[in-house]
Amino acid sequence: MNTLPTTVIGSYPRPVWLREAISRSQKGLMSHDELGNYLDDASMLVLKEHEKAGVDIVTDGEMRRDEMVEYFAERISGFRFYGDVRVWGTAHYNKPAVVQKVEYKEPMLVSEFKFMRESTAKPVKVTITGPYTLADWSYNEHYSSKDDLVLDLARVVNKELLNLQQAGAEFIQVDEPALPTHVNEIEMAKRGFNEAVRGITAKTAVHVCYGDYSVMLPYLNEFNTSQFALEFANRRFADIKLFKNFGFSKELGFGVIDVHSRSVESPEQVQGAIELVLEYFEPEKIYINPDCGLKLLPRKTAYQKLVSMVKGTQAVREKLAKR
Amino acid sequence: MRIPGLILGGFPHGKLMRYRSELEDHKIARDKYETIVFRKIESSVRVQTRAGAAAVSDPLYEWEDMFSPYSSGSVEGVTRGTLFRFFDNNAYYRKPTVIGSIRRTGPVALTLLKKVLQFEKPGNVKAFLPGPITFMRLSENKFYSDPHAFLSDLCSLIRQEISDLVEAGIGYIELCDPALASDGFELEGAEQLYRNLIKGFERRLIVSTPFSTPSTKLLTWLDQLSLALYLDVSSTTLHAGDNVKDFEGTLSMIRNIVSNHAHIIENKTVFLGAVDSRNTLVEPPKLLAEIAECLLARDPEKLYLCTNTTLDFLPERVALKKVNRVCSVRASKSVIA
Repeated sequence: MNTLPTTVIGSYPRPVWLREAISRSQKGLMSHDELGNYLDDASMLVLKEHEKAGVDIVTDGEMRRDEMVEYFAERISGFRFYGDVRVWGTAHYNKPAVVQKVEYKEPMLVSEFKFMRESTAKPVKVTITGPYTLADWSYNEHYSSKDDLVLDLARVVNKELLNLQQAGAEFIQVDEPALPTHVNEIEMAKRGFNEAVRGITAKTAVHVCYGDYSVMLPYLNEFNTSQFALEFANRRFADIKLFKNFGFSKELGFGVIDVHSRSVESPEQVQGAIELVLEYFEPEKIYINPDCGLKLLPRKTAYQKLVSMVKGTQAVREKLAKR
Repeated sequence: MRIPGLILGGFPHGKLMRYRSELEDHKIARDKYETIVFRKIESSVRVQTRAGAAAVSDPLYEWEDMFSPYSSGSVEGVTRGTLFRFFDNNAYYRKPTVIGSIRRTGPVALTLLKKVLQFEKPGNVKAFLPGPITFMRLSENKFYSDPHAFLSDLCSLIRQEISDLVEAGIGYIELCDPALASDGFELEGAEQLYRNLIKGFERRLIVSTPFSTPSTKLLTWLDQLSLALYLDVSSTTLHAGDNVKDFEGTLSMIRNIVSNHAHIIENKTVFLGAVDSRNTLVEPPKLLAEIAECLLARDPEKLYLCTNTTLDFLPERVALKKVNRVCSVRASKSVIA
């Protein structure tokens, strides 16, 4: 693996033809099997687009998932849906409600992983939404305590992680963007995460974004994971020093691409950002990624951003090699 | 006797989100979009009047977040900044970035309210404004070296907004200031500025501080400023995940809150946020009636039953149920409002 490995957080814009196919399928004009072919094609396309951009650790862009909570809530028993809820601007999701005890039904990501594994020679990363975020981004109509809900979801996620590991997954990212939301629940989120990765020997990362990092920092070293992949470009790279001050000892997945801006960062801007983080951490501890999933961007813009990310990283590697 | 009901904050944007995306992608024309917004506003007004709301709340369909109208060119010195989580919600806002002296170029909230005023008399309308403390604490200040000067200019801006709304005859003005209740915020420091901000307008204002347990300190502070009391009794109970469906437990907790503040509540106007805008579980009428009875036993001057915050945190169909629920609660004791 290269120094400063480049990767993505997960989601990527769906091609127009896939969106049209999904729309036809929702209207009953396309069979489930036929849609499956479109999803395979789109996943393959994204893998190749990541490869073409030069990304070291690729994903399928989560082509099969409409949304990171919805997708799992549809496949775990105990949830129901009432309709879309706004998150920001025009971004929305079908926020689920927990109405019964949550239970594992069947593998959710194993076939997706196997397809990725068979479709590229590059290292792949599997992404899954973490138990705390699944709980926090759902309505609770059933559990008498959030702690119980998080732990039940952690057991569900754990079963899926064990299945992924058995299928050969070597790098799994657990998305926990809700982690810094409630200051007094970070201990609960940590317990949930550590339960979810019980028995997992594959490399794991935790992804967090758009919150107050200072509230979660005291807990991060106690998460049983090797990496935190975090948003930094949106906050103009503030808070890096905080991580150093807190003695953060994990690998840092460093967000260098603002996924909510359509302006494409230049390789020089990416290089500058990486050089900034290297003032605080050794290169061996740093992975390079966008802030978050790229799916809200036009596909061309998302691709150009990845190209800049890779070129900027390459420039830093060359400078490091000359040291 | 039916207890007057009111929606705090705005409404879910529903299908407007899709139309807004289409507008941004140039798939529909601006005038078509404006017509859709107009019809949607009309519908939200009808929903509230049919439900018998004490006032019609601006659904805030043209507000992207609680600061967006003030960082989109209507106020000099403020631009839109980075994306950040809005308190403890899975909802985000663009941080207002202060890059110069804050100066309003014209009415902001009143301009956005004009469509609502085509369907309802001003005296029956509730307008919405961001509170100055929350505006300050959730902004990125790159200009003011003196925080007091920053807050003072924000208060001037908000006071101008209130003045316009009052002059237009708006009956109710919600000043949403959750940061007032944040841990570590010293209310004393803001007292004089707040006093100047609200002077003469106290009877029309609802200072809402959602997402926090009502504190004696804050309620006393509101009382000393001659402001109505606002109590979010939902964020501490159902939303926290405790007592879900344990209505006896919920009631017991709320009774404690009310009992602890009985001396403040007596003879005051109270806006009681007992309908949770952050959970899909629709409160049973009996529970709400008992909560109201418990409050009424403390002899407030007026009692309004409210959502604890904006309905934008809910799917539209659940939100509509909550509108009807908050406006349909009956209590045995006579309610003066």
